[in-house]
Amino acid sequence: MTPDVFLRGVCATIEEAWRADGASLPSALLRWATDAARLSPFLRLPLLTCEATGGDPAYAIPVAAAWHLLHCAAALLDDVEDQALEVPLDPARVVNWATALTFAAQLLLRRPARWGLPAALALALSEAFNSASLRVCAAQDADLVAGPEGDLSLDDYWRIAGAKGGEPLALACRAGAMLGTRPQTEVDIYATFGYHLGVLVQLGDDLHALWAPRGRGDLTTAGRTLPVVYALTVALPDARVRLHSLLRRAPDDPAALCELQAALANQGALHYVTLQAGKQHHLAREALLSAARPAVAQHELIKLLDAAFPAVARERWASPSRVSPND
Amino acid sequence: MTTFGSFASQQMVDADFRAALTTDPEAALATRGLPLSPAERAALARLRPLLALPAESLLQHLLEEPDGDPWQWDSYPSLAAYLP
Repeated sequence: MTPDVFLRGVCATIEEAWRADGASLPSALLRWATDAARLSPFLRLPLLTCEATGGDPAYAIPVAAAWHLLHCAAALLDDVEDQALEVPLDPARVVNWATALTFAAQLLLRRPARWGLPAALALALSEAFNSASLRVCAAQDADLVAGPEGDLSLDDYWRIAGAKGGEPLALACRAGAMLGTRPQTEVDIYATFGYHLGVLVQLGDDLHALWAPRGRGDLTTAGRTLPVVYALTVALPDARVRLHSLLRRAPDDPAALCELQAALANQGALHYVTLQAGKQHHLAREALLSAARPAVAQHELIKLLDAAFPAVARERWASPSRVSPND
Repeated sequence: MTTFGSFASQQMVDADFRAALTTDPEAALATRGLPLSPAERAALARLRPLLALPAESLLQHLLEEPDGDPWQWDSYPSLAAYLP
């Protein structure tokens, strides 16, 4: 199935769910969700993992649509909880919209006959979606309890990043693989790939939030990023106090942001993130290569993995001569 | 915390250790009694050229996006722009 055909199918499926049973939710939200589908680098994961395990690509369309709606809901709720909504968005309405997106996702999974899915498989998919969602919610709660300035340990960080970053993409890959294979061990391989891919994306997000922020919102939650959590973990007491002060000022003070960036780099945060990204990339790749069925789809999954954090992509560093210390 | 996490949190602030690590990672790690898993060792070995860079150069590599926009969780369009 070509990416264009798949995308059109997903968008049509979302529209169908949106208008189900006479519901008349805002059309603006539907347009946003379908446009987001067109931009999402993650949408193809259920398709590729379905194809990699020999499944019927047509089944991947409703599964990807359900996953995307749930992901959109999570993105909206995250913005509400981070108090990062743009004007004129009203938090109460956005929570209601996120709830609607969640139910629309459930509706897609609850109509297996519509898509020709075996009922038992649809039930198993629904369980996978709900279980993963609960784990994400639990991690979000831990994140909220920590507050915007963090006070997270590295253990806390990895637990939260795994649940908030890893679980959603693990679900996308798990659900796709379930469409093509029965053995749990093979499904788990693709879920593991998705999990590490998701954590890798989170590390890239953290890096961009600090060194290429798109707005004030990125900086108000910088205390929960890996570079900051790491630096606060290893810094001496005086440096910790300084880091906390810079974190508070950085969203509104460019000089404080520059000093914060330099302090993090001096603590080795960039090298630490690089190592951790390399580890996540390696684990994702090794999981995928352990699958019993090498396929074109697997090659595509590797390409997605490399694109998620290009700096640590495997082939780039095959030769030490690629980069000199003076680069 | 994982062994690798413990290692990194203890050692990444040590510039001398970082230099040794890029020259002979296994030996550098052995002197500190820090066994790594095969996956961690492979990642470390593969990224040696990258890790040898000073922070400023490393940052340039980390932020480069050779194939379009970066993958980010919230790279979706702004919902506010869709409202009347």
